[in-house]
Amino acid sequence: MPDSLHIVVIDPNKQRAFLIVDGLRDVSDFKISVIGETTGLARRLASLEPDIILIDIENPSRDSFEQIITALGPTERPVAMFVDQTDEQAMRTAIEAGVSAYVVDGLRKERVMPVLQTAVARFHAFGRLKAELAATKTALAERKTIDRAKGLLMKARDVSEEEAYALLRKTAMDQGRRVCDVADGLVTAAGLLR
Amino acid sequence: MTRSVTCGFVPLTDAAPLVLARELGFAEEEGLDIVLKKETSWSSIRDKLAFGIYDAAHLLSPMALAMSLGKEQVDSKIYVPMVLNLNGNSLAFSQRFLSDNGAGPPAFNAAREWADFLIRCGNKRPVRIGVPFMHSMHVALLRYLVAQSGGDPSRMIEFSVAPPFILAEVLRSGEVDGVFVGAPWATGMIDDGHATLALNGSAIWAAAPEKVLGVNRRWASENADTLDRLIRAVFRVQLWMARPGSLHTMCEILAQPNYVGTSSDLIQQAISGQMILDRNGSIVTDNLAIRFGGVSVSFPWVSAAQWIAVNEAPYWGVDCETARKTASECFRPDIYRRALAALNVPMPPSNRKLEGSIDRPSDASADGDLVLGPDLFFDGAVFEPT
Repeated sequence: MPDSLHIVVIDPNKQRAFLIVDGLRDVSDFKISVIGETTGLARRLASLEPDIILIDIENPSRDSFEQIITALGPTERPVAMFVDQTDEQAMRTAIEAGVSAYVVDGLRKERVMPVLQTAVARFHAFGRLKAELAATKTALAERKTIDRAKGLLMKARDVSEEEAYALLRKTAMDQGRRVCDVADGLVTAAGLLR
Repeated sequence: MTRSVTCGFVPLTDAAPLVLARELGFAEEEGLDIVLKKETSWSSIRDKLAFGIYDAAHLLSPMALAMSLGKEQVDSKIYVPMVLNLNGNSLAFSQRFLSDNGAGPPAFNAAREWADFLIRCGNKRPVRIGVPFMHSMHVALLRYLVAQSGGDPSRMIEFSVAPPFILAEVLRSGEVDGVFVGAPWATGMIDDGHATLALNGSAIWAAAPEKVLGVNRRWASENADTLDRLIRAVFRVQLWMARPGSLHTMCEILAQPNYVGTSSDLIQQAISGQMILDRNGSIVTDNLAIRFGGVSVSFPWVSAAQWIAVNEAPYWGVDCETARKTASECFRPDIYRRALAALNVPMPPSNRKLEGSIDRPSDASADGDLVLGPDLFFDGAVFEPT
């Protein structure tokens, strides 16, 4: 039997929203809607009638969002933040991952937990992807700097590429610095001298 | 051994005591490392404080009470061992709203006239006011202003919530008619020519506890010594801030992108009490615009907490007596006294005072060494604590 829970994911970050939706699809046959923009949020939430709303803790619109759901409160479907006082560790983990879940009144904890856990896992995965991407970008930038420094050395001292790199590496080791920092210093200095 | 305290804050002028305690070495002198975490929403601070991810936080005073009363999305008993500042909010209206609503607006800080203006406009349709949070002094003061002037706040004012640094955009887009927001964000809108300053919160209540140091109750019980050090560090910062020569340094530090992230000129306005009024650039003076200082500012008066609780209780759906009782448990002058005992500063003889009874700086301690600033309400009311 398909699970009839309707989940709304509020996330201006499309990539992360897709990751979460993917993850939730693996758990069960939920009905899922994604809201990327926070303009007109009240109207959209009222028309979607979600059972669970997932929103990034760091979303700057969260205070507005809470006012909106409180204002929707007096209707027959009041929504409140899901807080499991009996499992403080799970809540801490969710908050640290950046996930907050809001659920309609009366929804059982057993139905919320798998959704929350999936979202937490996907937030972590997204964080890792972002970190990896950043590391790759840094590595690329560093290699470019080292290449430029090698070029400068090859030209100024009339040495081969291997010798230029060996010189950079020896200087780095002598000074207890990273090769790319030495290269960066050389490139900056060369720019100043030009 | 250095103890670490993780502390959340929202980019506002009144985060100053926490920021400066770290930046100027007051924390270090107490053997403390204050780890500051900038937040974009009060909800986020609330959640992290409730679940112990933060030990302490820059908190809206009504929010501390609402959390303790179980009226927030996450309820958690919070202790307030000290106040960070009095006042600091400004009510400003968009040019469009003022010109749509007739001739010359009331004078700056003329609270009764502005109340009449709000009621007159609110009778036609609700006046839409942008605020940073519902459980805030902004909302409490505005409701009080309208209610005590014979209006019905629930009918005449429609609050709309957005983070302080986004409210300027909300006002510009015409989604709200005015904003009631903490320094320096109103000043920015006026400086840009989009808004005119109506009044500061100080014109409604001259000594409103605006932001407080909120601490996780469990953390406070298990780390009493660390908490005392934190209170002392922040207390000493406050004394430093009240010195005349500190203004420039303080504003420069706060203006940095990792703190408030705006121009130091804007930050300086409320602190110096010299604020820009409108797009013509006229300057008005309000020496109570935002108050930092010693015991007269940072003492967590149980009576002030009760005022907030009693006035907001009907809107929060709690009965007055429960609200009053929780307020008295939430604000903790006993912890404040304990932490500062070593500094030998003059303390008030009681944890309660008649709020709204001081019209000029007056002696309050048994030996006459403590001077309290004015605490009047715009309507001359006196609030009696229990």
